[in-house]
Amino acid sequence: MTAEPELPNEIEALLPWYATGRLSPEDRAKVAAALQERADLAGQMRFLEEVRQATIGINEELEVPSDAGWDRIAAAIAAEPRR
Amino acid sequence: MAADDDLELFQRIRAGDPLALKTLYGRHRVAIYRFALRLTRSEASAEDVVSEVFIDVWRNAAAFAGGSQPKTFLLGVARNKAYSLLRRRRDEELDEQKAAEIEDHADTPEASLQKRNKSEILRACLNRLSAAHREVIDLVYYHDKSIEEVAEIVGAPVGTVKTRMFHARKRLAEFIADAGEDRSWP
Repeated sequence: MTAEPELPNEIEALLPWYATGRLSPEDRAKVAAALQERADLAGQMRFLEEVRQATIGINEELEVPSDAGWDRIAAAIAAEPRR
Repeated sequence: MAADDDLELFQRIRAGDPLALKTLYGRHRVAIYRFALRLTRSEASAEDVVSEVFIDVWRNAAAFAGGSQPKTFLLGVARNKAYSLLRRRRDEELDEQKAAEIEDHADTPEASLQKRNKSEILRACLNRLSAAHREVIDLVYYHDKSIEEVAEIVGAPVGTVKTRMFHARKRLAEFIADAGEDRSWP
């Protein structure tokens, strides 16, 4: 028998966006209140902050596109009919 | 504000101004490239995605209705292009859903354990996640997207985005535990 996939509760689901400041004011208030009441959420927030920092680090270390990129685009749009 | 400036650029692109396209490209090329590179894991494919995105914008600037942030729109186009490339690259039977679910075992936490560095183990575990899990984490933490914006980019309901993000971090915690790191979460 396959186990049912675990679903997050509402507050846990919102935590990643609380850290980035991208929640609506209502959701932000809900999470802030829950953080005051539930000590376990602080551990999740610490973990998510580590994940956030690592994600930014991974992406920032990636290369940037080559300088030839714009030339390819410019050549393609030059071949398009004028509008 | 940058988003307002981008809206003006889209208007100029619709009118056929190539300089506006070049400005938009200069502003977003790195973010689009890195997003595509994380999905395709190929620099050549990521370069192709960037080109295709901005050529598409030139041809179909009218498709951008202005209801969302321009960067969100561009990331959505980039995602579609990246998955199209992946589909072409992989077996015909392997559909997008399945491709998105494949986890990468090339850089295992066990290998990273040699490094004895918590931060590097976390990074290795992030890189092991499936494309579907990686992209939602990247969109939230690197591209700074809200729940609604992620939903628009990946073409899924808001509830699915929240659940996917939850499962991504849960899977990540499992990988970290497999690597022998002492984690109390979840």
